[in-house]
Amino acid sequence: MTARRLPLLLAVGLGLVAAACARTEVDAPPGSVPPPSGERLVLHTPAGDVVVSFFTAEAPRHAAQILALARLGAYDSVQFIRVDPQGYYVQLGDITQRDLPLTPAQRAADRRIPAEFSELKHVRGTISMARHPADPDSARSSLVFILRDSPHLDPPAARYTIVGRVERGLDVLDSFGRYLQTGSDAPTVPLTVQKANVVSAAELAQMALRPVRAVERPGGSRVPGREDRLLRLASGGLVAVAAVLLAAFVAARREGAGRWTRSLVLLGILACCFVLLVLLVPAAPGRVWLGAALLLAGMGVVKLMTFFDAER
Amino acid sequence: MSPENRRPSVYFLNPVADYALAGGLSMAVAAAMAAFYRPTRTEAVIVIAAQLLWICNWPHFSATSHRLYHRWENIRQYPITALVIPWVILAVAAWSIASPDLVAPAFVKLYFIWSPYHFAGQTVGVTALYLRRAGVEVRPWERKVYGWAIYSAFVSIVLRSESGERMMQFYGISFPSLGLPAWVATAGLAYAHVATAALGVCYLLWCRRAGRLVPPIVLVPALALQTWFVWTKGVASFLEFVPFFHSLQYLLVAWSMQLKERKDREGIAGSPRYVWRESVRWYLLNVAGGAVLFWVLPRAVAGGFDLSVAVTMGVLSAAVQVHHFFVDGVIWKLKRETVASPLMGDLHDLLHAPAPARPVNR
Repeated sequence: MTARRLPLLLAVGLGLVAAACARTEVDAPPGSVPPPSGERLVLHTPAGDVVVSFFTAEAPRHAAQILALARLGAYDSVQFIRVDPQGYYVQLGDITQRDLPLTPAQRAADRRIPAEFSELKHVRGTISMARHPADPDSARSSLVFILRDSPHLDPPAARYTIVGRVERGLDVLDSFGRYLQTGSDAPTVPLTVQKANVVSAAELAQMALRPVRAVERPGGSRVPGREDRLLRLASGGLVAVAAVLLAAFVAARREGAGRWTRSLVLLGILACCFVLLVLLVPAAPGRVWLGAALLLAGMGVVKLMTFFDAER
Repeated sequence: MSPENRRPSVYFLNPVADYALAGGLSMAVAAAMAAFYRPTRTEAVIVIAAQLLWICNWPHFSATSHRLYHRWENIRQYPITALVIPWVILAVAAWSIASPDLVAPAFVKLYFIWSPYHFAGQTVGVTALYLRRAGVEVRPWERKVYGWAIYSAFVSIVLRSESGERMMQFYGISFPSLGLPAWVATAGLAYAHVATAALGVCYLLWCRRAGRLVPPIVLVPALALQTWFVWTKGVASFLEFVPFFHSLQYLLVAWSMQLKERKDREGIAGSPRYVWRESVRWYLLNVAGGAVLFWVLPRAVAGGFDLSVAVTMGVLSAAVQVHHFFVDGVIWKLKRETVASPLMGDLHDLLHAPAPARPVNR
């Protein structure tokens, strides 16, 4: 290297260092949202899909535990247990609260995590760890998705570990506010994580994410008009068929018909009852007579099944 | 007293074990938990109940399938249950998995109505068994009374579950209650109390007719069912263990049946060695069978078809149990001598009775 090139190299080197510092300063001023790093968590819910990225620099242990639990399937069937009526947040419940028992591996991965407080702020889109108010190190798996800027959750008022942010699907979480009734923060429809996947950025680019959509009461909602008439017609037809089959069964027993005949007639009655449940259970709440009729039908059918495959 | 004219015992094993397994243990646990433990569903309770699934609940389902399918004679005896019902249930399960929001909730609803009915049916059977073993003469109207008393627990729990508007969850499958008014649940509770009191009156009549104290074990299954479904409705932590106690009751009877039947069929002489070996073989086989039905199968199906594990587990769990309800409904008819005879055996028979002169073909 000649003496003439050295100043040029020095100038270029200094310029590169200055550029690196400048980029760092611009990209991460204190308290702003840093760029996401690494893998994403995709939450598939009945209301649509939500994509979460993690602040692995600011909260590495929390991010690692959540991702580990998600890979183990621990978040599958966990419910969103709380929707703030003022629209500040929605809370995903603890994995131990789901109906599906945890496997030994999932239980082993569910640990208390020492707090990882940082300069990050509770702004719309960030994700905070739920914890016991008196114990800063009690966070485990429950996540709080911030939907409105919440300075009351920041120091000096409070301190929580901010673990990530919602990259896509904030509108899905916003829509949860539709499923509240006055005086309660528990959703009126089950907002369950049907599946939670850990994906890379490349895999995420290939995924077809479900947009926000309305959540109906399971079994579909009662649709008025033409479809309602079709529903009544189908239900009436099934009731008629079931009644005929029941009469046939009584006659078959009296006449000493064979086991196969009686049992197949009973299967027909069971099939009619089952399809009636599929069609009418969603419409039963609010209609006492319908609920009572369905219950009596169900109880009657299970009683009838005691005659199934019975000898004369 | 020679083995031939020895009077069979009331108990399958011995008084302590029979009282415990027939339901006494569950009543003691319920009382202890109601008195000393939190009523809510705690993590400890959930973990313990989940472990018990492997060693008791799941094996009891497997034991039913084993009983039906382990011999061609049984399949020929119940051809529709053995050969048609599995396909029907498979079709419904596939439809439910394909339609988790519409069909699966209806399937789970049907299962939730049928399950307590099945519990009550088992209780009727076990009660009838102990009455027969105790040599109690039961008149037709008394049979109706104890049947109503036992089924009143089923009616009470179903009416309570279906009253009020709320969503229920079963392995990620959400389904609504039927929204019946609250007074319906109260009426069901009152019916259960009155019917249980009537059972008590029946018991006094049996004692009076027999001129002795009829072994109270004849009441234990019915009282246990009332404990599970009626008296502990506010103790959610105990309710986690109800399926375990139901399975324990079943395994006692099924174990006895299995050992006696095989001994008679194959002409085996009773001995401690036979009891240990056959018990361990049968139990381990059913532990494995239960694990396949409830752990391997749902995960294989979910993984193979890229489905939600939670929904698949829920649907297949309900499907296996509905199959169990069908099979149990046919294989335990006490009126059949081929069923009643082995069920009258006891541990003494299994340990000491010589081999029959000629193996009995059933």
